[in-house]
Amino acid sequence: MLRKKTFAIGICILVAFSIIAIFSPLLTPYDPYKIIETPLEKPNKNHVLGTNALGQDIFSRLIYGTRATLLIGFIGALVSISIGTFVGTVSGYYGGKIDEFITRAIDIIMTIPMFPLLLVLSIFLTPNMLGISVLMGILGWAGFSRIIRSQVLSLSEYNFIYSVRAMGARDPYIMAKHILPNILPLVVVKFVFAAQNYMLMGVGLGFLGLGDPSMIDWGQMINCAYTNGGFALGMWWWLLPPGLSIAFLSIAVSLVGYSFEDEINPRLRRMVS
Amino acid sequence: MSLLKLTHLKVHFPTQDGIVKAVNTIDLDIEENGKVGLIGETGCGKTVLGLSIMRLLQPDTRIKGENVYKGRDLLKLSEEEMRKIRGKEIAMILQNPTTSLNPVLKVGDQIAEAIRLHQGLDKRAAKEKVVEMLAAVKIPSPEKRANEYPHEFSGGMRERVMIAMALACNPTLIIADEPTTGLDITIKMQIVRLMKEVTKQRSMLFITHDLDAAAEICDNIAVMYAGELVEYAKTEAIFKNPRHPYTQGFLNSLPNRGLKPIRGMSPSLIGIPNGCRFYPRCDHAEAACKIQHPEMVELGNGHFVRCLQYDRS
Amino acid sequence: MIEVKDLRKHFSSGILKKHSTKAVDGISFLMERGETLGLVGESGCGKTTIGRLLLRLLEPTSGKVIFDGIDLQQLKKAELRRLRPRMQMIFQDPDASLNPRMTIADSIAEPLKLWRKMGKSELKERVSELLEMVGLNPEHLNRYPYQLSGGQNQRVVFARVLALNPDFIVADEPTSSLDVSVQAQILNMMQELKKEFNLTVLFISHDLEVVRHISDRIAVMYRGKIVEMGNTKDVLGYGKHPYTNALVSPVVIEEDALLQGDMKPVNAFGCVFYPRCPFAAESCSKREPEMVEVEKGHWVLCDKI
Repeated sequence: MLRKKTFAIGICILVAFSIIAIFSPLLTPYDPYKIIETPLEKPNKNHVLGTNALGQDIFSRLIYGTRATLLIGFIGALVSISIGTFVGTVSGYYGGKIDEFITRAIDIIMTIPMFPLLLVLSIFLTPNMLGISVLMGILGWAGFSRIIRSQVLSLSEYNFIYSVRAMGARDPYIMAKHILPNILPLVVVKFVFAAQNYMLMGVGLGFLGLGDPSMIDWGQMINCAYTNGGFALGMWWWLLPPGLSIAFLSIAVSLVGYSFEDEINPRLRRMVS
Repeated sequence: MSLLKLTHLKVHFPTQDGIVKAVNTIDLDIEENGKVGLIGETGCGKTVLGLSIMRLLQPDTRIKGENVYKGRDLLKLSEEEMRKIRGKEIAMILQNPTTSLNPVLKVGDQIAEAIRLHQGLDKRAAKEKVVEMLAAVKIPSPEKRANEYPHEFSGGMRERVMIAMALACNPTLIIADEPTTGLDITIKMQIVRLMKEVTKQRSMLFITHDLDAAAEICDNIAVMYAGELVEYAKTEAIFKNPRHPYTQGFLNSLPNRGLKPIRGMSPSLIGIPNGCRFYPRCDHAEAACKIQHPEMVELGNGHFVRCLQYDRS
Repeated sequence: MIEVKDLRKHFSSGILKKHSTKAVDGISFLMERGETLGLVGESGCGKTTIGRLLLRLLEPTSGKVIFDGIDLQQLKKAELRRLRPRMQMIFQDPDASLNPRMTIADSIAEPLKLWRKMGKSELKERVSELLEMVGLNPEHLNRYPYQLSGGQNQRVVFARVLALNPDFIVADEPTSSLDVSVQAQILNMMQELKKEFNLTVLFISHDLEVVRHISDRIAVMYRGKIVEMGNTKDVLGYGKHPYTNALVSPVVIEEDALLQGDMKPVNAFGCVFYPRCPFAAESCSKREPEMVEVEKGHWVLCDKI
């Protein structure tokens, strides 16, 4: 029961954020890029959260920021989980030399510290949001692929896999029709957690000033507030809302992820062990 | 004299799908020094019966009836009093030695655990006792083996360890749950022999689906079907003159007795119908069998059967 | 129909691949069309590995399997795939032999979809036909494996395997996880289907009584080797190898004389059974015995015969 409740709460928050992201233009009172007021206004009737150092409406920027954060998480997770599932499945299913090669490769990849590399790469490559999220995905699939591999490895020893092989089915068919559906629950859970991870990472990049300058994101907002003396001036309405939004979104994703995991684990165990 | 006397024992537990009536009104006597074989197929409730004697079931399980051991009803004891009985008075050999032994503890330490719990021996004395126990179950070089881990033991050797553990506190009654299942035939016979030997001065409830093993060890055999006993008799009588259609069918379906199957399958223990539980699979079924639930009747000479053919009351 | 020549499969383990287990160690035999060969042995003797090697679900270390005149080792992947429908396998645990996420109907239809081009209605008809053949009802069609009993699932496995009209079936302990009353049902069904389809069957089991009941010939396996092979009657009635006799009448053997210590390391040179053999002589530990034909078609691997 508790599990269902946490799931419902998490999903509600996520849906709310998604709606905000999709309909940002309709929800914002002002154009977030436009300078419309004197800088550093306090919250007032016209500007709920005041204005920033350039005189842009903070509330509008906050709303728009949802887009970037969600997109980075979603695209990053999509890329890394797709690669990870594919590589892990191939590696676990075929075994032998292919598996050995992939496993070694993953071992090496996993020794590379991802975040610093991401920093360096995003400085070198022109930072744009799509590029950054794909880059994150490309850098982050290895660990996940390992988990998938071990699942597939044990699944491949199952008699129903042997029996389809004995029936003369082609390997891609077996992987798509028999392996994938059985690891799908795990993939979904991992997707959710990966998305959360990339959202936070995206915000981190933004905060370091390495985000896509043409997009508004929460990290960037905090960075902006920080560098323009938001802290010193005690302008909490500038700093706090993006920070709280991140925390709130991240918690919502966690709730969904954990309740998925709980739901799936006993079933996975029953099937795979 | 009866050592353990189960009277109208019922064990029900609630699940998502409904109440599982795993044990339904079982009456069973185990005499001092008696060995009773409890025979039944998967899902007939035999394991639950064993666990319920030890009171090792989940707290939400409903147990009714009486379970009198040496004049005391075990079901009425406090948890603390029961704890003193487990292992010391009644010991259990659990199914599947691979999962019943802790893989990260040395075998000797696992046996010592039981000894120290009940006998208050110091470490050294316990260790000596462990070696003695391992030798008693005929494990070669017991001093060395006591310091090994379960994975270093073969299946048969692990089963011996389980037996040594059960014997460690010199219990009066042993409940053995499928101790020979999964063992190779040559190993199985050794284990059966060993069990026979170590239980010479004890009582045992031998739970199994393996009739041959039970025949080797037990004086009496109780046949369980769908949560209740359907036949109880001397071992010889069960083999030579089985009376219940299920016992007959079970015997005939053994590979060395013709491999003649019983049609259909065992009923689920949820929502058991009235009438005879074996009715849908029985070749001798009559109209009355569907309605009237037969009682256990004695045919003489300690041979009991639950079937309307014999129930003329 | 089947010819196996000096088949070997070694598994290596350990970091440096130093430890090698000889799961199947030089096995040869022939199988006639329509025959049932019972392969008996205890757990870990390599009998399951043989089954998989025969269908080339595993690659052997060396040796040959010739199926109906075709050397399986020479086949390319695609050629082997085309041959697959003719040889099928049935496994021990029926619940794990079916994809838990597929309905019974889908499971039975799968081989037909893979190999036979048929319309939806024809497919449906064929599936119900197969279902009926193995004694199940149409009401089972939309269920999932976990909703059926072990015996019922094993019936589904049979339907699935027979859908392609195979010639050869490897049945690996098909009934050992079932209750005896159900085991008899499945074995009887298997016997009938075997006649109906004129199947050649390799029946792998640890249960001598079961094997006795359904095999024409028996091969007894111990630690990767066949130690005795011949007609069922000869092997079980007049077994020559000490191990066969230990299996046939385990009660007769004196306590622990024969089988003391379940697992001693096997001597690298001598007879595989030497450490447990009551008749072992010094020479047995030094020289590997050879297969001798004691009667026509009755082979024994023992120097003392």
